[in-house]
Amino acid sequence: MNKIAAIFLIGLISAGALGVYISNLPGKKPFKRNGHNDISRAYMTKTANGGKRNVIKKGDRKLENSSSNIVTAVVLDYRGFDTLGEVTVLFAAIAGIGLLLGGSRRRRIRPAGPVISSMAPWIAAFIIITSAYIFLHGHLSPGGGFPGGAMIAAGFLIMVLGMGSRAPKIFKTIETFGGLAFITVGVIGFLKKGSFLQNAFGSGEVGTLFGSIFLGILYAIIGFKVAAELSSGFGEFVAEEEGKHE
Amino acid sequence: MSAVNILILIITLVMLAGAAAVVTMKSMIGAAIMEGIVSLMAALLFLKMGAPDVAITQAVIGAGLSTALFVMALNRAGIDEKEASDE
Repeated sequence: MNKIAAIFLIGLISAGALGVYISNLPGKKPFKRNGHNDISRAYMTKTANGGKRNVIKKGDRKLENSSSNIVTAVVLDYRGFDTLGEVTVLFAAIAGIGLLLGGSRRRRIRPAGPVISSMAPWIAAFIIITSAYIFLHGHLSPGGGFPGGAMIAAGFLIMVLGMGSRAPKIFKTIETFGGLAFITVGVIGFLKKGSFLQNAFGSGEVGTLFGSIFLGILYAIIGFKVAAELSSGFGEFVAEEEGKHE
Repeated sequence: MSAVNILILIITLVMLAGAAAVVTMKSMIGAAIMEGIVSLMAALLFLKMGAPDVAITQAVIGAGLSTALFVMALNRAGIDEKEASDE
């Protein structure tokens, strides 16, 4: 009975909090004139209007980073250093998993039944193609390197569970060189423009795939790195020898 | 109340019901799958509120990978429905 009462109380509190949150969503007055929202407004108008008062449209050039997706512009360009920190945290977590589970003997993964094991490569292929689209179009449409890489890992997990395939050694190499490439792009920005992770490749036409080559390169690096990390981490989990740690 | 708000309300109620089911459910695998449903509803909520980037990440990681991780861990630990209902 106590459990039911606790659940009811928690539900009541969260429903109330959500109601307050929804009623305070900025629907009609998007920006306050002063206070901490000034910084976000500056970033929004900078990217969305290209520093001028006109809304960007296809064909605009010479903007700060030529991204049609404001989230990508903030995550990779204005806050690129935070993204480097996130990538590092993920690398540390996967390195810990590899340290704990990597040395053990490997279990042979039994493939699933004939229906699943024959369909698994097809499903995985479509998932991986979709995720490549998601991280290559990160600066044009919603998405980007992190969800794209996680989707590749999900496709790989289907292959592991369905067909009994294993994480190849090259995943570790991609992981290492991905981090290195991210920092190299940052250092190129430092050498050419004077600030770490600054956009050193210029900006082309808005709305084209190669218009914003800096964000494209960074998201491709992050996509490959996250995919390799999560895939090898899940590979370690699945292939861990049973009863080893007891 | 506009149509969007009613949709948000429905999604929220499903999330609450799913969260209650996670706690009360006897089967551990079922609880893991209900947790995935809560994540999926959260992704819908993000999409409805105009944050498609977050919605994609939530759907992939919350509903996909973490549910798979829970199910794999429960399988490995040998906790299945029978043992859980014996307690």
